[in-house]
Amino acid sequence: MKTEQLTYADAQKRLEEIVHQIEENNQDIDKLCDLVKEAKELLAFCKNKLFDVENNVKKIMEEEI
Amino acid sequence: MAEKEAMTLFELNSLVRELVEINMSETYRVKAEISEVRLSPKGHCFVELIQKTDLTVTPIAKARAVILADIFPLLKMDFEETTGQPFHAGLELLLEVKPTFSEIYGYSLIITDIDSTYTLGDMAYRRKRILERLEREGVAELQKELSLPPLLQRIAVISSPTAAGYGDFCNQLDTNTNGFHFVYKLFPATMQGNDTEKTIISALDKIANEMEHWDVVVIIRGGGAVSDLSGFETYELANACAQFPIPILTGIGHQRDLTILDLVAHTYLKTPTAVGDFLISQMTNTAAILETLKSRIRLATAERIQAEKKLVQGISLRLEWVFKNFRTTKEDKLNLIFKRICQIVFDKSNISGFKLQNQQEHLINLLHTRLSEQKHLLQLLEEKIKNSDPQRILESGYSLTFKNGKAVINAFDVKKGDILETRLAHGKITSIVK
Repeated sequence: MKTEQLTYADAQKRLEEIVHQIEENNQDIDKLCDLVKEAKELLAFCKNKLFDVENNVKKIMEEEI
Repeated sequence: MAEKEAMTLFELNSLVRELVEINMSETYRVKAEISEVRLSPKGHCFVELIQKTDLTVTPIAKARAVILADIFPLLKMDFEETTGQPFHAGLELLLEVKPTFSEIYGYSLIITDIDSTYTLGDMAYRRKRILERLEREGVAELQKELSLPPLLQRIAVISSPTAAGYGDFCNQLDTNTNGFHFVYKLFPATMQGNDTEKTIISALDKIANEMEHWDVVVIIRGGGAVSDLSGFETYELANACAQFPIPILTGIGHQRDLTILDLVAHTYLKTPTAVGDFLISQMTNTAAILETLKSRIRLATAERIQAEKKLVQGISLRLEWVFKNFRTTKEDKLNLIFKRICQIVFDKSNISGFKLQNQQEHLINLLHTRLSEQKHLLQLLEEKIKNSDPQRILESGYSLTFKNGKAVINAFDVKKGDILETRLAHGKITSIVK
């Protein structure tokens, strides 16, 4: 999933899907690594959205002004 | 027109005043709308009362009225406490009045009491009608149907830039202890009085033009003094809010009933601070969900890996067992074959050994037998020999007769004159046959 167009809601939804998939235990172990990697990226993306003031402000200010 | 004695205007007005005083000495309860309120320097409150119908804008009745300075502060306070609204134009009131007539000022009413609960009821009634209309038009619940995005971070604020409520709100978001980042922008509007409806709608239009930048709209105004909220109670504003595509949160800071705006908004909150708390709590929830997801991923992954390990372990154990079993089976088979070979070899050798032994034993037995036989024979022979020893025979009295060195065993072999030698056990006798 590309993070450029990603919204927080999409990221959260995807994370829930991943959790579900892992919890369902129907993933083969090869895919598990990919899923965890993707989840890690999504978590970082979400945390950034929640807490990263500087980048978000810059981004919005560029759009606004 | 018949000629009558002319009266002065004062006389006429006095007559009217007397008639009014005599015939209308009691007080009356009257329903009317205030169209104008004015305070005199002496503290009297002059109001203009009107009556409108649903069909016309122009009043069908009008009267001046006054609340005298001695009771006005009391009535005003009671009214505002009960209704949560200031005493202002546009209100529908139930009043107790005493009609008066002054020669100079003409007809006017002295207001002696205001039934505040009636106004409250009237406001509710008006609100109900607006709501019913919005419901009829299918828009009343539109805001409620919008789902709040998980990240309520970009906030379009409609408020008065000078309102204390706005400043507090911004400060609250900026200093939230969780460290959440909020971006907000003010879209100024007048938050009380007649311009409320118009300016809020205009602010909403501006937000709508850049709606992709905003997660939520917040309409807030500071609390404190009782103010005119009638601007929030209009159909036009309620309709604009109800149909707005982004969720609207209200924190209008009034103490009484909800306004129409509150009712159609996505979420109604009492004060700007409550809106701030709500936004922060939403973000806290979102962060908590994120944490939960993180933990669940960790746990589920660990469990999954554990399960996989167990599976591998199980397979490994099974493999081990299978190999072991296989080996044991093969070994058993080999052992069996070996044993069988051994057995066969043993059997074979045993048979041969047995046979050999048997033969040996047989041979020995045979030899023994033979030897015994021979021994016996020898013994017999010896006995025989012993028995047949001529000496022994001679000893027993027998004698041997020889003729020419040969034993004579037949008397007919002897003739006269033959010289015979008779051997005895001891010695010999030579004789001549006669």
